[in-house]
Amino acid sequence: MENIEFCKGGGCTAKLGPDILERVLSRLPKQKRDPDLLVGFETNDDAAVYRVSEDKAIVQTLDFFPPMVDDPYLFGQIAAANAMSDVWAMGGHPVTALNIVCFPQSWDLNILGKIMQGGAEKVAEAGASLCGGHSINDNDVKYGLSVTGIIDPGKVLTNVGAQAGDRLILTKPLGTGIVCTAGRVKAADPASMDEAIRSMTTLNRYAAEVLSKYEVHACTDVTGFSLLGHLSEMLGLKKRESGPEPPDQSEHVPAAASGSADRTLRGRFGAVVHTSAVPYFRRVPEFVEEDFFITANGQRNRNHLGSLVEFRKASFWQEELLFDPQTSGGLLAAVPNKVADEVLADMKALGLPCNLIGEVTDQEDHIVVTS
Amino acid sequence: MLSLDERGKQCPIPIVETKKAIEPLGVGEVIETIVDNEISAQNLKKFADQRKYAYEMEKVSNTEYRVHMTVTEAAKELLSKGKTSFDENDYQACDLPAAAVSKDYIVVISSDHMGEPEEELGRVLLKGFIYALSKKDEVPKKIIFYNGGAKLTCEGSESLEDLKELEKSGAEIVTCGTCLKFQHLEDRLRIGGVTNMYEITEALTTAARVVKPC
Repeated sequence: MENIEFCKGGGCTAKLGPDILERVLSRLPKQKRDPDLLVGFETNDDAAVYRVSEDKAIVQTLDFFPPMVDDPYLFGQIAAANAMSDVWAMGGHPVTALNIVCFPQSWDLNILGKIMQGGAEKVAEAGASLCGGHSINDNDVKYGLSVTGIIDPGKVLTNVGAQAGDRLILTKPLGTGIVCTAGRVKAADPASMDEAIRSMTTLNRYAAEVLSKYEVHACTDVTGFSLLGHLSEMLGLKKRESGPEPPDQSEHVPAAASGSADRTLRGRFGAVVHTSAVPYFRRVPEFVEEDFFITANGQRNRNHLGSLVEFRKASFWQEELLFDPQTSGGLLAAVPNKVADEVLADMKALGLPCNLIGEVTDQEDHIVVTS
Repeated sequence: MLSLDERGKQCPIPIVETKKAIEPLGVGEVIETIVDNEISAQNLKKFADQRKYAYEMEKVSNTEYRVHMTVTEAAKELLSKGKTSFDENDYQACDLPAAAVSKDYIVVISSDHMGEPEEELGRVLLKGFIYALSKKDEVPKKIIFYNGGAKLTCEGSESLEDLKELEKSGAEIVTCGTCLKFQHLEDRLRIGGVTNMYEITEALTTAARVVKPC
């Protein structure tokens, strides 16, 4: 089967840029707050959490995108792993999933079959049920899932709440955007693609199960806005010079969420990221420095964060890596220092390519990247 | 002045093409790259900064940005030194979990030439492809030859030596029996086994990756 047309550069590199999105979202009418809506989209969180009873809440999320790899089956796996990831990032587990499909009717239906097979296998691996979906005839292929998960309302992990002294753990290597871009221009060797594909098809379930055994202050999954983008959200950093005042997050903080009641962070904390500790795919350095396989959205992420990030010691490829949009990236969690090494050891024991990449600090009000 | 119209092309294509075009140029020479968005222009600037080309950008309209890069002494010197360096030892990539995706791949050769329209050129390319394949660390699990590809495993093929090497490294080589018969090549097969559509279908639908150069 020829897949030349299949992959036009997709995954999370196809996301709308954060600046564009913010401009639109800030103009939406304010809604009346339902007290049972524990997490809405005001906090830039990964999914919505809605309490249905005292001890049960549902997590809702959806994700879909165009192919980032040539193989439809693997694309299906990656899209599904990516879509369900938000549920684990919130501390829940997926229970049902619906397919979201855009597919050109004139194409070989076997391609669609393979995409959906890949997706279905990952849903099964997640322990969830695939129970329907919606398909549209479209010029380009897009695929993903709408996912519902279950969570204990007292154990919701949001992407805010990191505290000074917390260590930052990242559970997958970075560089899927760069490697898939190299793949798109047919410059990635099979081993490089395999490395990235293996990572993108790995469910965040296993990392989340380790985290659930420990005190965790904040957690998110790293996707299109890059490691630095998602970290800045976790720290509550907003660009100072432009844009409307961010909504006051204190109103929307779920009272039942984990950690202390005081979760309104806006530049109260900064973080230090150590480039030498950040896991990455092997050939990223040369893909960036020799070949310049860099994406538009990587640059958009850089523009979006602007002065919130200070590079004290990092080479060009390391900067690009930290701004690289990730597809089905790992979890980024802020954990108390006292358990950090144990969490890391537990994850490593599962064979997860994770590392402690930095720490949250009250000595800075922005992100410092150093060696 | 050399000018590249990269409008309508997505990153990193404008950079990749600019890089290819500017590297042979001498000191003082200028190349113009036209892109249709500011992000592409910014990515070109990063390239210019890294490689020490002098960069100028003129915004003609919201969909036309003209980037001029001039080859400087420093850029030429950098290029002649060869690869820019990064310290591999700085970084410790973690091991990835095994499983999930197998490294296995199969190769399908369905013609005796690679690409169109030049058949003669295509034959040279295909020979080169099979040679390069035989030099790889990870050889395919299986190589399937069908239709015009069947000629490659038969007497007179210039790839027999490379295919023998591939077979020695563990690649299973099979040719479609129907195709051999149709082309009256049954008794000229010189390497590997004969296969049928049932096995071909099985191989194509279960492999993690299928590589099809022609």
